[in-house]
Amino acid sequence: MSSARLFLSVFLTWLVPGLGHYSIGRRGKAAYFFVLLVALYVTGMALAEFRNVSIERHPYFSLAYGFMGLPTLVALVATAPLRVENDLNPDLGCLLTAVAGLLNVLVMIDAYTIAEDSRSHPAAAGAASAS
Amino acid sequence: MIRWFLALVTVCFVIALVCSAIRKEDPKEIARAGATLFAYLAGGTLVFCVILFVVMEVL
Repeated sequence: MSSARLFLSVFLTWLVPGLGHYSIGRRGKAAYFFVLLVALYVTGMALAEFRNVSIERHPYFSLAYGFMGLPTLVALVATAPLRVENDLNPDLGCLLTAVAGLLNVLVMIDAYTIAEDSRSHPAAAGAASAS
Repeated sequence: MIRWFLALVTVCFVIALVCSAIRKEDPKEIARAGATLFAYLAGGTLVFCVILFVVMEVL
């Protein structure tokens, strides 16, 4: 596996959780991470009434949201027209969505180490992905 | 209050499942490690909250 594929797996994981694992043949893990992280992300948004992903209102939380590339871009575009009410308390939603983003960093590291292992030991990695 | 409690349990659960799946391949091993980590996280959070509550009541 080339260095380009190695960094592509990390980039794809940043873009969509699990996509990097899918690209290196770990389809079970890809689905596992995708379901867990996207569910947590969307649950957080639902708790904040889909108004928490905003760089203007939550600049510090947005740093954590930024680790989930495509979901954050979709959320920014889709929820931009929503009006914010006075009595909105989005802390809980921000927490869950930010944790989902930060956990995606671990998933990126996992994708990188699996890709690195399969580059160093192609035979062992092939046996692991087949099981 | 109940929303915060449920959200913290959800966060602990997802953190345990994601962290236990890092560098592991066997689903049974992931489930066992996830359950253990979830117990530690949830138990630790609960103990921390009890300590905070006691300190706030005493002081």
